[in-house]
Amino acid sequence: MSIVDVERCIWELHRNGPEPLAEFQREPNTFLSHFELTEEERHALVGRDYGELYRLGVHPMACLFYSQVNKTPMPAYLSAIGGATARVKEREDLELHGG
Amino acid sequence: MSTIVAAVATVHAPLIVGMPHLASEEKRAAVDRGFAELRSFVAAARPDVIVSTTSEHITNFLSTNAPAFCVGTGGVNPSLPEFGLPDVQVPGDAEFARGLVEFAYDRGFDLAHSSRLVLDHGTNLPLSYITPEYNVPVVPVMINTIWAPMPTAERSYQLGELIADYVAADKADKRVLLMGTGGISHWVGSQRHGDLNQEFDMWFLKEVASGSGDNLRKLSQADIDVAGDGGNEIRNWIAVVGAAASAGLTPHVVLDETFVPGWNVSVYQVAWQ
Repeated sequence: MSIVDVERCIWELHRNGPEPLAEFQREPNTFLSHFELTEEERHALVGRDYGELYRLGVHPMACLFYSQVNKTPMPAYLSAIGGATARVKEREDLELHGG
Repeated sequence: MSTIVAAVATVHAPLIVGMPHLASEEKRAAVDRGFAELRSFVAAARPDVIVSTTSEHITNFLSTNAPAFCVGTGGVNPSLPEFGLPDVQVPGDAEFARGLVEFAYDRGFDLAHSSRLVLDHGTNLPLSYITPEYNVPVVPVMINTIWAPMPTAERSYQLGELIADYVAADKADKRVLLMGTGGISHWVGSQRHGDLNQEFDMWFLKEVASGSGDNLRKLSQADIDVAGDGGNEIRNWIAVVGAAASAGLTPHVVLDETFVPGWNVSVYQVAWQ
């Protein structure tokens, strides 16, 4: 049940209009109290720990969406989840210099 | 009697509009030309309704509720203004959509339905290019391409055949256009994000362009997995192949733009008439 609550939380932040995200940014613990999360999951969400969320089994697309909510650059996200070094570098170069 | 007058299929990679600069000028121009050709093609077909076999991306469904196929029966389909796409209310066709579900029930094909499906880039990106005035009603048929287990390629093909049978039996005398979106190979959000399987892409495009779904409908989940999690979206194309074959339409390749690394996909587009 817990992983789906992480995914539901990310859905609220990413897909359900600006209010949930504003509440999360203002009062993260209050916002997260609406979901049935383990301490580990809560910690990963508050800490924007994409690698941990990915390891816990959160759907990769939801992990990516959460990084977009937080405006985390793609290379940093890829690096956090253990993407290959060459791929991270490729993304950095693309974002810096274009295609 | 209604008629399937034409069909199109295209990738819907969001960075095409979200981060266009990640592709070279040459690739961007080629993709713009492809979409322009699809737009002219669709305008010439003069559709009264577009039935889109498409994907959503954790927009309407979580793993708590993952229907294999869900028909949007709303008179209006809200959209999600992501990646710079317009915030539009896309007209639906409730009567046509409900008729499809009832027809399917009578055939022993139990489609889910929803009076409110939000269209994310999976549907809205192609629409923004192909019918930018949003003046043609759209009936979305969301195929589960996110939450495993997912419907088989065979069932997706049968969905297309079912849509073709429904259109042929419909007495509303509508001109129907099919629009499949998504794929082909790509990985989203995982450690392989940015990878591509060009061998699979080329095989898939060749099969689609043959007009026959004989090999496509036999694909297993393991066969599809080599195209990445984003490759699951080929079900949307396979449904169009099934419908187009039933309707006697002939495909031609509009765009065959191999790997655009910044957009994480090859950009393929096909049209049937």
